[in-house]
Amino acid sequence: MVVAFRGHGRESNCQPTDGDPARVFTKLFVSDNPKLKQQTRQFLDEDASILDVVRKDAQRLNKRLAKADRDKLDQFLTAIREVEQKLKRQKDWLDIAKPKASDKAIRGGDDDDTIVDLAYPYNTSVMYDLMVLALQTNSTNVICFGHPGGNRLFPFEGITLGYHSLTHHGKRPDLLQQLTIIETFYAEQFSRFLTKLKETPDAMGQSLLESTIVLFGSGMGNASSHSSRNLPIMIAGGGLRGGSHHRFERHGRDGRPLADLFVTILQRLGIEQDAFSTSTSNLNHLLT
Amino acid sequence: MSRLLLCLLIVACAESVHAQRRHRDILQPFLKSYCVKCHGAEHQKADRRFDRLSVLKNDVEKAEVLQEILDQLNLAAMPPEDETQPSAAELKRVVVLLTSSLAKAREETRQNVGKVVLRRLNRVEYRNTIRDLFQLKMVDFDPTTTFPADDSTAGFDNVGEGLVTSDYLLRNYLEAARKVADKAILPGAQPQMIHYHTGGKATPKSAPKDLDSINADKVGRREAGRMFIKYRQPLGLTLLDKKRGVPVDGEYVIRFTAQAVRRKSRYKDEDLRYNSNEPMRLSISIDSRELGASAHRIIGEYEIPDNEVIEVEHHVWLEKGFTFHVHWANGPNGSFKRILRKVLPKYNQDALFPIRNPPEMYVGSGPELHVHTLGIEGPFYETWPPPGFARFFPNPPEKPDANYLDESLVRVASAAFRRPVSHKEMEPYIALARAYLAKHGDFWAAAKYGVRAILASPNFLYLAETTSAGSNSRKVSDHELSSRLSYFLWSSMPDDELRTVADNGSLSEPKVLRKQVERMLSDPKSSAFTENFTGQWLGLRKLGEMPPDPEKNQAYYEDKLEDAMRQETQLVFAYVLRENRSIMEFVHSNYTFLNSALARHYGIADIAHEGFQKVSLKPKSNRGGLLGHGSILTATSNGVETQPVARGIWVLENLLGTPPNPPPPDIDPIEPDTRGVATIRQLMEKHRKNPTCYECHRKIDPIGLSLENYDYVGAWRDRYSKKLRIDSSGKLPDGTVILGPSGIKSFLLGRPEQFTQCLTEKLFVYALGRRLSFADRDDIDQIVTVMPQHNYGFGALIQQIAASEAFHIK
Repeated sequence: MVVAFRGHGRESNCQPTDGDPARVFTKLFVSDNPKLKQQTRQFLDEDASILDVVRKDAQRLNKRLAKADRDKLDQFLTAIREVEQKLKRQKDWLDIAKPKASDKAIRGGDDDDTIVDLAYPYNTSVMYDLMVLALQTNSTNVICFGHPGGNRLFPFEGITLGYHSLTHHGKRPDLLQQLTIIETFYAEQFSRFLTKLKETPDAMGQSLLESTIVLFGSGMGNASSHSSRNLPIMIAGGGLRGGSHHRFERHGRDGRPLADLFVTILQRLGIEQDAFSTSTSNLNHLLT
Repeated sequence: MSRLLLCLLIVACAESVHAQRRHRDILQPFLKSYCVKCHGAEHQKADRRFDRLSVLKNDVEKAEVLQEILDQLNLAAMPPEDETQPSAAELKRVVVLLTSSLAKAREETRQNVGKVVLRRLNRVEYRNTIRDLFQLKMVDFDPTTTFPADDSTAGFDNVGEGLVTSDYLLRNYLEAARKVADKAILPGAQPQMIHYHTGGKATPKSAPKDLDSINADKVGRREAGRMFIKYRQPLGLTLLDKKRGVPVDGEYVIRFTAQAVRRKSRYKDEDLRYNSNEPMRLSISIDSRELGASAHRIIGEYEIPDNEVIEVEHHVWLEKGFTFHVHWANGPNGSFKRILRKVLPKYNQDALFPIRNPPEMYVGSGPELHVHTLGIEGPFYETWPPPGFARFFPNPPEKPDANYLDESLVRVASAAFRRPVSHKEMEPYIALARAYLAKHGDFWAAAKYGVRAILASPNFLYLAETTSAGSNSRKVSDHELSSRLSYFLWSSMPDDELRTVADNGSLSEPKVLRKQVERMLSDPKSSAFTENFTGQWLGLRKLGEMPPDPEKNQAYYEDKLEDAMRQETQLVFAYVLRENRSIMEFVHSNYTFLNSALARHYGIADIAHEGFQKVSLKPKSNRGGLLGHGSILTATSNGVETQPVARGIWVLENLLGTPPNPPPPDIDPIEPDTRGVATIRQLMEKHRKNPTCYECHRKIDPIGLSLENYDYVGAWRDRYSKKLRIDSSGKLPDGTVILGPSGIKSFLLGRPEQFTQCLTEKLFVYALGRRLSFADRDDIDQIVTVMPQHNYGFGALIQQIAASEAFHIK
């Protein structure tokens, strides 16, 4: 389950995302009507039979292809196997009831006349609330959430330029000041999220923050020079040792690629890996 | 047998010993004197090392390196000007040696390289193929919206090697096939017509029952059978229930009569946020509740004359569930609430007491767009059953049986697989559909099921070029050739005519092939080539990824300049192609295509009318040629400022065909400091002082800086600010001094061969759907050599590619 805003690039090739709080809520907590369920079940069965036929056809075609082409068609055969497994899993899920949750997060409370604004950026807090709900009800174990940047004009007091324009501040104080307003907003929303996680108990009765690792950061260390070095990264929860700021040099003994942090996260989640991508080691000595 | 083999081996060895000796005597000393200092054991600039060439085991790899050395020498790009230069005689000897030994290597390796890797249809090709297979209107129906974007390899997203098939995509294929089968298989009688109408003489009572669903009250008012629109309203007027929309796919006619009233009123334009000098315009939009915002589209806009009722009839294809609305396109902006609260009190003291003076008091005094009648009627069909259905299911009997099912599925597959198929081959598909028919007894559901399976078949999803057992021939079959052609020029499947010449085996005859290419280029479907090739060769698809600041660039958004810019480039490309004009017009031309908004943006006055048109350019217009196109200048900027480096790389890569190497990984990018008056040129000069950077940036920067007179949305400028003039002069690595855009243009115009080669290579990758290898050089060189005889005609170039050897072997 991925809850995230959609990127704007035509070439972006990530998992499809959903940025509409109401739709996310429906997906997570509103059960499908029986007729739709029945139809979905039928489609799943039909697709499985289609794949049987298509596999036979692909195997037959395979024999008539050159070597390099066969490797390519192997991808297709692998995809067939994976879809078959997923169709089966999806069928199993059809019978499992979705957890119940109050729609207060997206509709506002009954007691007061809080208006929930579902337009970006104001829906940021709503999305964070939905993430807490999803984790609390055990609807998912993994969530990705991204803030769309673009060159939108944030509707905040004091903002006169598009977000992207501001990130190319060229050290000009007036632009930096405006950028600070937006980044403060991001940080505040994130802080609110952590607090909420801390205050919400999970199924075992302990704080959700204790059982959840939260990673927050940016893909650029200095957007003005388009540098992807020295990234600002925050990690919280999951029983990791927190409360300190670590600096990493670029080279030498103290130099660390970000992937080292990912190794620590994997290990913390019980996945026995001692390497990930460009990792050189891990950060266990600082965080555990 | 073994003896014969031995003889051959000895000949081959003798040949290679001879070649080795010549390499040792001529090439190696040359490399040692002029190249190894920078590309040897000590330094490997640009990651190249030439002192160990002789130990390279892989012949292809070695040949590619030698080819690169030869190209650099031919371009006089290496050795750098400040290094020791070889004498003309030395140079000639090496060039001759490399040319001949590479030709030989190509001959030898032809059998193993330059193969097309099995190509999957990419997203665009899939959509177009579905459109043509079932003759569907794919404007508002698009089953590919959830497909993942296709990766691009060697600059293009139709290269088989990079087109992966994930389980996610396969699931999308299954779902798309379901939707397509529902749209395409339409048994039974023609759907009933709907006639909705309101206003005019027909009183609401005599109108059909559905009039109750009229949505006019909410946004305008219905008064004595007429509605009016008071301001620019997002909703507008409609007749249809917005939940249900039209009942079936088909062509509908929307009719209205309208009149502009009080275009100029006592309310000031700036108060109403309205321009009373323009004639009023009424637009028609369509949308679908099910598909949401992405389906919303303006389908037409009409000028409405003052005080005169005009009648408009608009024909449009609507998919089931779509609704339509009419709007006042240029009415007062903002909400009616704002007009009531902020504008009315300024003009009417009484308006301060809204209870006594209802908001409607504005009505009857401000500008209004009156819609007297509004109607929709349909669906209409040219023929029923639709041709895309009837071609596969001709004259269906009252109770179609299993045999009819078999035959129909074979017909579908033979079209979908782009080659003849046999009943035998189709057995698994037929068995699947037959089993469904036996179990459920529903013929048409079974037919849809069979079609769904065909659309998930690798024979449909991939452009499979098979080898037949025992045959060594690498020549493509006529059917494979027809697919290559149609995906090259149409991004879609072959049509009936192309299929016929493939079926009768005449397509590979040069005369027939020529005629088909000519026909295909003049077919409207060739717009896919224009769109997809320019989108990638010129990077037009990147346009819009980094949009400029909305506050600072209001005209850019109001005039839809992004679309206009893209259109300019596509129109020029299509024109040069259609008229077989010289490809050098991409570098420079004395005309371009503009609409009035883009002409304004370029500072070009007096053009004939508002829409796009061919415009002759004055010598000092600074336009004409791709480098003056707003599209490219904007796409190479970041929406905030120009990026001379990106522009320089763009020219090297896409016009000169000599892309620079990526920067070494441990170099920090320059940190912009725009406090004070530091210009981008000064920043870049600082950067270039670093010798590692200098190597490439001496080629990149002068080109990029020569285009600094175009700002980040491609508008012309002479100065950065009052105090700061733009310096767009520079010196290229070969010593050529250039001044501004015209300087770089003349430089390019002086190298028609290099530009031709660059474009030819790009076209080859796109046409073949694979990376090029050095084995393709003969084909490319030959084309470059003959192009002057064809006056560099673009149409001729396409013909040359379609006739090339590479296009005919697999």
